[in-house]
Amino acid sequence: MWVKKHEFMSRSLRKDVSELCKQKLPKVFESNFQRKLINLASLFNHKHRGLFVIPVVLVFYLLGQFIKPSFLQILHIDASTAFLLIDQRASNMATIFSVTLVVIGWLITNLSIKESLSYQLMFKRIYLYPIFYFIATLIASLVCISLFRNTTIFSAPDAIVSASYLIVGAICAITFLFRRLIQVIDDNYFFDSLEKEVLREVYALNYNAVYVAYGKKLYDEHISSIGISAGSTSFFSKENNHFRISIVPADSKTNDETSIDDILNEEPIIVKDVNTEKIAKLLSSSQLKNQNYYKSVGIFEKIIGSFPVFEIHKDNTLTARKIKRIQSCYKTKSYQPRQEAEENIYTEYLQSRIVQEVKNGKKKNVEAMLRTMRKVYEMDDIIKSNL
Amino acid sequence: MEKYQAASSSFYKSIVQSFYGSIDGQYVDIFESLNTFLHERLYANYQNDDIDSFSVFANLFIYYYEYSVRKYRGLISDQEIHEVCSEAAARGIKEMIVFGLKFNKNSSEIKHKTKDNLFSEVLLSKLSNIIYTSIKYKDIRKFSFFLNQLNQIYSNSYDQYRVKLEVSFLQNKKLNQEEQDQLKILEERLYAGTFIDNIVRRIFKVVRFWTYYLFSIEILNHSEIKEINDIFEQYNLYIESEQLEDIYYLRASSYHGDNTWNEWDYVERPEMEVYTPPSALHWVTFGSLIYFLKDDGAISYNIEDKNPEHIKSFEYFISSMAEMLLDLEKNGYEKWHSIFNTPSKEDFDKRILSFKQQVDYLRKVNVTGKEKSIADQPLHQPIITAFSDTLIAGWSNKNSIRELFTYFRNTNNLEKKPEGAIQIGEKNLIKEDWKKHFIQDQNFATSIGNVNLLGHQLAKVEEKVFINQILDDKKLRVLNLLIDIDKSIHGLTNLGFTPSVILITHSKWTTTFANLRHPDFELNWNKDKEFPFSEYGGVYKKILIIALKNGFLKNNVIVADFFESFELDQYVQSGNPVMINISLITTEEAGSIVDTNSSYWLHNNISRDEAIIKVRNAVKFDFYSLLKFNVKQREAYDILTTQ
Repeated sequence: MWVKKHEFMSRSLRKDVSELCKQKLPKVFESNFQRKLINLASLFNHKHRGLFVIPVVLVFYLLGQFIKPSFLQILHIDASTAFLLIDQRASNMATIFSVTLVVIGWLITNLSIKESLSYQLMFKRIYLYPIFYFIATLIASLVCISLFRNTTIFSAPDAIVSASYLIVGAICAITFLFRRLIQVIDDNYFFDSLEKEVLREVYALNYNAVYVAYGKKLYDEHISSIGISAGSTSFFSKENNHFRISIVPADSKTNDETSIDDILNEEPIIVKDVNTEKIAKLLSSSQLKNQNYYKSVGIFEKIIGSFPVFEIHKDNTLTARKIKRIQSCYKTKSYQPRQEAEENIYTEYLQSRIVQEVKNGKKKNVEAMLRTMRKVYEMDDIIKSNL
Repeated sequence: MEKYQAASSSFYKSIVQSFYGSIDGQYVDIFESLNTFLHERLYANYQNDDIDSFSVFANLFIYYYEYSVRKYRGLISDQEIHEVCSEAAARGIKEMIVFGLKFNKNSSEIKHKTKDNLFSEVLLSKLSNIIYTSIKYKDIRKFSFFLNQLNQIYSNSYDQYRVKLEVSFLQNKKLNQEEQDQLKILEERLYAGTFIDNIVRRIFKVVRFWTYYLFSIEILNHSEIKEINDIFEQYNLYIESEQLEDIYYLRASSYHGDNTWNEWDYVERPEMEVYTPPSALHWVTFGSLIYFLKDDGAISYNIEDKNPEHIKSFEYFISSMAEMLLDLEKNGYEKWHSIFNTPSKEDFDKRILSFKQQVDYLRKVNVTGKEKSIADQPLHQPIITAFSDTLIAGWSNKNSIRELFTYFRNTNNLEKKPEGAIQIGEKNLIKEDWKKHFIQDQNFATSIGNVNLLGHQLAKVEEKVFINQILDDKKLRVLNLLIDIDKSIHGLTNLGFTPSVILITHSKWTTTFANLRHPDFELNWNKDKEFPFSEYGGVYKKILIIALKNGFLKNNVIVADFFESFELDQYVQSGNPVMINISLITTEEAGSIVDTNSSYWLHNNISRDEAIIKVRNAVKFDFYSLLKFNVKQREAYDILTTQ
């Protein structure tokens, strides 16, 4: 027996699977907390999502203006000094910003590999987008403060205190950016970062694959334990001894008149979770007769919603309410194909880059990438032997 | 469950391309890094028991060697990377088999040994393909190096030799249970222990035969085959040991094996086109023939210790060799005399002739061996039963006379032989070469054809006897058949009989009845009554017509009150009027058979013992009926003759 029977049988198949992963593949899967942290950090580090920085900066100003938390109020500045400071800071910031841009531009032009993906990776490692947006927002806000200094919309001294803190923050960010930038230009660091990105992609890919596989396995065990056999349920089978239950409630016409095209054009859905315990309870309480079939469903599996998951013999009667309750045990979300296209960019980049580096005769780089491949293979080996 | 799609599966292609790139740019150090990576993967796959991935990665050895040989063959400069590639490929495989896989701590255990063997088999098949590739691109120098590496894989340890001796000692002994178990363990050990050596030896043979074949179709030229011959000089032992066993194996594996050499080919075939590579069965046989001829070699074949399977494979092998030999004899001199080292045509012919004699002799010995094996086997009763059933079916089908006697119920079944009965059919007939049809042996048994025809023949003989019995001189000459039939019917009726049958030949029936639309003739009378007559010819004035297709009646037509006229006395054995028996011929019987008819059995200068075996390949065959047709009342039928 692959897992002990009924060892996992809770209301959430997904939780069971995650439990099983921890047990079987502890080395491969980091804890959930770590994963969430990484996701949060990378949330802002994106061409568009970096714009989130702007409201954050504005909120910071508001904090200084209205709530006036004590930690921002350690020093007091009078209004005339404040006006002076604002102008100075605005021009300082603009200078720093322009110098930064020039230096980045110069470094980039001197980069050995000039491909969009290596730029992309570099920008990602140096957190270019959030820092850029941050500084731009800061300058814009300073300009605004200086422009509206004589109005009574806000108190200038408070604004300049907040702005000063932000400027210190901006200088730290620029320092960080330069430090990273110099590292990134170094090949070693570049391939290390590439490895991190590739492993992240592979991890995501494996995460899905393992969840689908383990999910099916546990689903099989749960459902077959109530005496329903795994069968080749097919939407198109014309054998009419059975009626079908699909995840998405079918239209009245669906069963007989749906054509293949309708099915193929249907948007697929992703199964997020299944409450197998409840399904088992519902079905075993009806005391099914004859041969009944089910189709395995895995977590994160992409399926067609109106495809049958159960084929129940016509001798059995299930009330419409019960069928609805069974259908409600499947939690799904809609599938977004755009994600998939972006999923493997770094893995694919690695594959083309290694061939290129071989052509250039760069042994060190080739070995660095082989090291990455080795790690991926090792991860796969562990998963393969545990499926 | 669908297969897990590994994230790494997409890497393979870029690894292959990296290898190619390093060869293109002649970056030896990068090539070595890649090769180390390859070895790591192979070892990891081995540890995870993933033989499929292992095989896929091991293909890289072939790929990079082939890529480099294709790029650098014929170039004097730029050789370093090619050297490295060939070295890495062959030496890598060798080292992995000889040292690498044996890192397994308990490799003496059978279980581990078996696993190692499976992985080694994969590697060896790659190595054999590398050797094949080196021949394909005529990289003779590397070819020599590869054979050398292959040679180093062969272990031939003393330990295995000892186990072999122990096994053969035990096999020739009567064993108790404990010893039998011991033998089984030893045999397993021997199999596992010699597994790799067996493959190595066969690869040597396959390569040797392949090169001869390539020479024969002019892919390799004279100087090349000479060079190859010189290289092979030191490996001749591999060709000569276990020679026939390996040839059987190679021939057999060309039918159902998945060995790589079944796909060896000498030209690049266009993709997407259906083609068959040269048949390994053919070139293995051809190559071994050349090998035998080259050294004026003898085939050491000892019939005594051969099992039927061997005898059969040898029969096929010898006969296809004989065929090729004919061809060589006719057009082979030009091509082969330098290989055989027979400069003059006479020498060449002599070489061929002496080998031919050997083949003929071996064939005879082998046939004797086969016959001996058949002679010693028992008959298989179910086959005999099935045979008898078919015979009876053939006899009863379309048996018109029997049908009549059955229909009119004038048959007497007797439990003992009727007075004056005659035997129709054969009894105690010695059917030569028939025994092979009645034994249960997957190698020699063949089925016999046309059995029901044999049964049908008996029925026809019975018909002939019956007709000869009833025809006498009291014939009425006729001018117009139909009128005289009418007369005859009238006359018989007047005598108090009821004419019930008209017997007529089929040709006469056609002219008399079938083509004449006589109102009293009906062909469809049978339609609803369904008479069981196979040669039914309709009715004439409500009298049944039988149109006999056999010409026994000649020009005679018989009008008869069948029941009053004829009667059949037949001997019946357990309900069967036909006696069938097939029995063995014992050695003693065979002896007396040979002695009584020695001029027949001892022709062609065969010895008495051989003749006895020949007789024992026959069976005694009975197939007859004992019966007597009686004429009850001669007045009850008329014979009308048109002559």
